[in-house]
Amino acid sequence: MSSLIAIAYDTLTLLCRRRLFWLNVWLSVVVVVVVASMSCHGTGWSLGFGLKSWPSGYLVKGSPWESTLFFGVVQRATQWWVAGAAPLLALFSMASVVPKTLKSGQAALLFPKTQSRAAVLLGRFAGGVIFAAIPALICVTGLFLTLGWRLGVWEIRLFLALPFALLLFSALAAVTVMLGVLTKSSSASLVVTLIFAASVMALQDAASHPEGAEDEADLKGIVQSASGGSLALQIFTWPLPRTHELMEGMSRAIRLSGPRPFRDLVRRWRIGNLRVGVAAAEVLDATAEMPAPPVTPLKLSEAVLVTTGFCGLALIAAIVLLNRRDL
Amino acid sequence: MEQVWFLTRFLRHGMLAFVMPEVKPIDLAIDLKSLTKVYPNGVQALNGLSMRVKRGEIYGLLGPNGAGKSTLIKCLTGLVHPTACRGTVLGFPVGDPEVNSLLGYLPENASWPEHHTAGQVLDFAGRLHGLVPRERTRRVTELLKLSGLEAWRNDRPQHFSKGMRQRLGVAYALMGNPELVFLDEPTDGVDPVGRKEIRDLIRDLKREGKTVFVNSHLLGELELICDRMAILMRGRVVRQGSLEELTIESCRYEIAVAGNLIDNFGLMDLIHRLGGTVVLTPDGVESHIELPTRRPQLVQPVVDALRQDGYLLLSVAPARQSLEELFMEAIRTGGQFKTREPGD
Repeated sequence: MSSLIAIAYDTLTLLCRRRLFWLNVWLSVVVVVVVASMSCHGTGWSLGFGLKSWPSGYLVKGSPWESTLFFGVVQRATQWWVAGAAPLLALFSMASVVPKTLKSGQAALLFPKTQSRAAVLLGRFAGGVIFAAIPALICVTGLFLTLGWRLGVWEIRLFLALPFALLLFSALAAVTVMLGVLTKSSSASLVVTLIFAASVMALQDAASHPEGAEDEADLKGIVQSASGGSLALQIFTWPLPRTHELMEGMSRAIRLSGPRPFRDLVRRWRIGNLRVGVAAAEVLDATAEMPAPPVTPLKLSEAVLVTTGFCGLALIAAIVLLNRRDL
Repeated sequence: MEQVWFLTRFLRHGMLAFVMPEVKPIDLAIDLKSLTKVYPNGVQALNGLSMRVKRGEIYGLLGPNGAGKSTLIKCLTGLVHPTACRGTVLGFPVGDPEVNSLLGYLPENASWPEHHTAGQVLDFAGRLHGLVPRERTRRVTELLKLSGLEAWRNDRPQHFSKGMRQRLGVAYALMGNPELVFLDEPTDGVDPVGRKEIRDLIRDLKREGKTVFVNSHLLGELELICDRMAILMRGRVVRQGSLEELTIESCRYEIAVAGNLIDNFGLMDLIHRLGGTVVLTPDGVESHIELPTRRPQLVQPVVDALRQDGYLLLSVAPARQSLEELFMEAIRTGGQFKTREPGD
């Protein structure tokens, strides 16, 4: 146990010294600052702590649209940054850790000092997950404080985004660790993990929208037909990490919805006479996920269990591969 | 964590993990009866190697490049899985990770982590061994002092000279107070003063009752410190024993005489009958006689005859092969050594 903790701590210090870590942290801070810089006043709303102001008849201090704005923005910041881009940046840093550990000069220093090779891999994995949690925690804490400051709403459930984001990251990190052992190459493990993540998302999206698949997107349609129908696709994608359901579950867990739909707020946005909000709402519609069956608590539990199980299996496969390997 | 280790053991040994006996420590630090390693590319690095290293001794490993020295150490430290193996390290089966806490290892080309200073490297090793913070701090300070790196405690090993990195490696290997220490080329790149310090350190380890297994190309170094040694060639131990045992075949007496003996047929006949040889120095003023024996009684007739004929004896001394000569002979003959009758 002591060696596992030592290796996790070592991994954390190793990753925290990388520039990408500071980029991740600073970008998280930027996201928080941008959200915190928004405010509503008597005649409209402003960005950059009042640097740029837009007059509005409805988006004013104390109106229902004010909380709609903040809840909508925080919800998207959580989805896109905390559970999306930030873990991806962390994965870029983490991809090189296992291949470097397996290089003969470092392996010879590390492995003879540990009781099991599994401890080294699990330590590296755990350190990576803690590392990914740091910018996510910074961002969520910042968003939590922003909501409290701007709206007086101390929404503690916002922190529920963290376990979901980390579970999604863990699944990808476990794949990276396994590929790192298999290929001993940082770039190969990273590229294949990203391809895997994209494939899983596309497949599960296709599997969860059987009727609209042909109409919604070519890719989904191709995947649908290539897999020979929805049932086969659902069976095929069942053991894979449940990205879609976990994201949906996260949104429901943090329950950030204003009194009005955020999309309606965006649609109303004008710059002068230009109705930019209509175009922005179109973009939001296009990037938004298709309506899917609601995620029930049972479905969410299944998603958590399956994703955790996938993560565990990937790590066990990595340990088996490593135990059979000469270093 | 016990469960994780058991799972690893199970993945490694299969059902045998349930019935593997707890091994008792024995008098031999390393007891290899047959160790074979064939790499997936077909290269046979070790070929049924057998070796016995006693606890508390300094054991040297010699061999040309490609003899299998590094593979042997990697097998013993669990980095490489043997293809077939019968043997133990400190009483544990070869490759059993449970022995790791009792081992120290300085690899030949250690690649130090870029994010640690010298002090942090040793602290990390202490964490791996599960030392409590106070004990870790004490041990780090002690080992930095021992390796002469106290002043560089907060510097990164990347900026160290080769010698300093080697000294840090020795300190790293000793962090967990191991019973058996593997040192792969410990004095490589170290200046003469540093070499002596490392030699003294190795002797100190022996005094503390630790077993030290040294692999070095510097034969003079091994000759100075090793109690016993082995010569490895093509994956097999061709010779094993103390320097005395290994060079016993080369024991001889060397007699230096003023004058030319070549023309003294009676004396030459006596020397040839004893299996000896005579070499005249280029200037022709001295003759050097070599008698292949370690028994002084057999030298007396020659000494008597030399005195009788009025030669001036410059020196009479027993001599034996140096380790370097022994090693070179092993290389030349491919491990086939000439033998003499016992007691000759």
